Amino acid sequence: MEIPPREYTFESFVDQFLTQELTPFTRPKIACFLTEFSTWDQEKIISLEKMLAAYGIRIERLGHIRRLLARYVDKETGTEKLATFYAYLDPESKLLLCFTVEKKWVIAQTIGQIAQTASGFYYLFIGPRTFDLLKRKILEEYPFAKCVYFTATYRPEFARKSETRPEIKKTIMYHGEDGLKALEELESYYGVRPRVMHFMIPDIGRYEIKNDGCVTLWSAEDTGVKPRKVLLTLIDMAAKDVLISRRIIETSNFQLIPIKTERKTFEIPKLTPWVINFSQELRYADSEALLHVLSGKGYTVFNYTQVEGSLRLSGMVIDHNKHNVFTIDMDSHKMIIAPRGKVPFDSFFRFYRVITENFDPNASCEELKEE
Amino acid sequence: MRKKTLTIIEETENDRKHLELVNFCANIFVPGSVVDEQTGYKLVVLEPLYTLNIKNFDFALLRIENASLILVECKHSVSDIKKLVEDIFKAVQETLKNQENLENVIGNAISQIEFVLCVPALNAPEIREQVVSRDYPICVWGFDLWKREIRLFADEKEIEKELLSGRVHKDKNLNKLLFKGIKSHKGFIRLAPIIPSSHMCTILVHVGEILSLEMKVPHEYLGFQYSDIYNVLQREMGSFTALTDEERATLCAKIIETGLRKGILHDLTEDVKELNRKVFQFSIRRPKAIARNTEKIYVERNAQKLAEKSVIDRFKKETGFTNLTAFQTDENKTK
Repeated sequence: MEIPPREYTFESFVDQFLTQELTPFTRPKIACFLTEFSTWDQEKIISLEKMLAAYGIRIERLGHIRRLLARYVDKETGTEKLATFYAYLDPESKLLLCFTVEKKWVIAQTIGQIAQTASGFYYLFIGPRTFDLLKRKILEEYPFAKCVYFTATYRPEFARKSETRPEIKKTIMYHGEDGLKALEELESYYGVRPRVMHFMIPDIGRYEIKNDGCVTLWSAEDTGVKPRKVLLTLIDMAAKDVLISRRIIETSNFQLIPIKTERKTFEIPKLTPWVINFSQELRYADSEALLHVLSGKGYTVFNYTQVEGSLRLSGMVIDHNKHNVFTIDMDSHKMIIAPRGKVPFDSFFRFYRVITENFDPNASCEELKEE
Repeated sequence: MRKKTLTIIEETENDRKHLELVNFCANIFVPGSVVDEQTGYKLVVLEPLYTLNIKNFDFALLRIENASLILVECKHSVSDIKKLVEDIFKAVQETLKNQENLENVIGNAISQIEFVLCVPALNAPEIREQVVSRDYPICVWGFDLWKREIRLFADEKEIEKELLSGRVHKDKNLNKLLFKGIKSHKGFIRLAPIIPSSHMCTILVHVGEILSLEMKVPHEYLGFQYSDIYNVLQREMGSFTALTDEERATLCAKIIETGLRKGILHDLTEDVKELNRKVFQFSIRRPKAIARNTEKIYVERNAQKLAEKSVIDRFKKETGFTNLTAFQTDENKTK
């Protein structure tokens, strides 16, 4: 996708995107990322531009839009190529929308890599609960829409065990116009939860929604601007829900409160946690499974206590990918999570993703209620 | 050997349970908490008597307005009730003798001190019975980790008598809250991940993890120095414990010494004599394995040491020799 170079506002860029001629056999998509930046280059310590540049991304200014050029190695030829993204940073929501026709694996190898490790930058993660919400909203807006394909996964570590062979990890890819019904059935029998869903909206097009916040126009049934407009609508629907979780996570805090006596000043750490509510009552074996999941996903839980009976697990956690330390306290219904130092939202968001993807897909987050 | 390993594991587990309980209680009294707002009592320092070599009392609550101090000792489990109560009473007496030193630690004049023993709610009535029968001025709090609550165990109907005996608090609002039971909505999250008296294994694991985090993966080959450990201690517990700079330095040297002795750390600069110029490295350099490895080596080495000691003790007991040299000399004589 080669957008003519000129100064764009977001609106003028969207107009251009809606009518832009595309190379044959390419699919327009929007990959969305959560960031802690509200501007491209005005942040005090490190700006988004500097951060992306540090990861080898070349940046060209097109008014409010940035053209991002990222190197990757082509799977088939082994040669180095350049991936192009047209990115808009929304100053209010701090969402980075990357418009592109690059393949998903190319996105994963370029900007996706940054989301794995960079501080203050993460996928717009669409968890199973957000998929449920999207499904409802799509059907409200387009009553004749159908889910025609999905990929759904079950892990033996899931708190809610599969009815059928719960000890076996399962991934189901399903093609069929009865996707929604089939997903319900397969969820019930095999405990699988969606990671990718395709919706067919009659007379408009077919859309792929992936759990890493990438929405693709798979095929258009209308030659006008509508199919691409719906891409933006779908991103907007998903982002609204994900941003609620982000706001909750961002209520967490770590402060050192100075306490002055007559001759001394002590600083007492005050931890403000956030909470993950589990969708069902957990047992000791579940806490074992969770420890296993966390250690496989780049976390070390250390100096912890784990008690049987009514389950209790509390201790310290290191996030090796995002380089942060925090503390958790879990019982059979919820987990309280608090930063032990400055922890950017993306580290906690990654943690929330790991829990919902690998342990309790129906878990939800909330602010800690003062009793 | 297996038995000894279990003993060491039990020791470290007990230390972590104690740390968990201290954090549970401390979370209730952080500045700005409901208790602080309603009574003015807030957490001011952890292990206030550590520097005075009085082992008991895990944290101090201070009401700055009237310079009233509450010292709390937490016991996550109780085996010998009589001994526990006697030990605490001795600590009470020691503390009262050291009031001036304690004032220096807190940096404030102290108008009154109240003492609290915080024990499992199940044991609290029996412990209170002991305290009452000996007429010791100790308030008994019972904690319930499942309900996530602490409660004052005292006779609400005889409040004046209890007040005179020092078994309820002088602050009516605090009594009211504690009689009702104070819930800890923050549970066991660790505002203090380590405290000065923490088990050396707990400290080594924590310091190791924080250092590995700071070194980050690409720099895993780099070593660290005395000053790095010192800074971690300063950051992790410097602002809310009574550790002086000298004590922090001593603890730092002890961490290094233990780490080297157990084979958890390597000295990369054996030719350098000054501790603060030496460079160290973890024997396992994969950041994700530091906690597990530190704990494993610590437990194994200590169990081995304990097992050796146990064999020698048995040998001494069975043979009557006080050391191996005496035994060898005797054997040569026989030959």
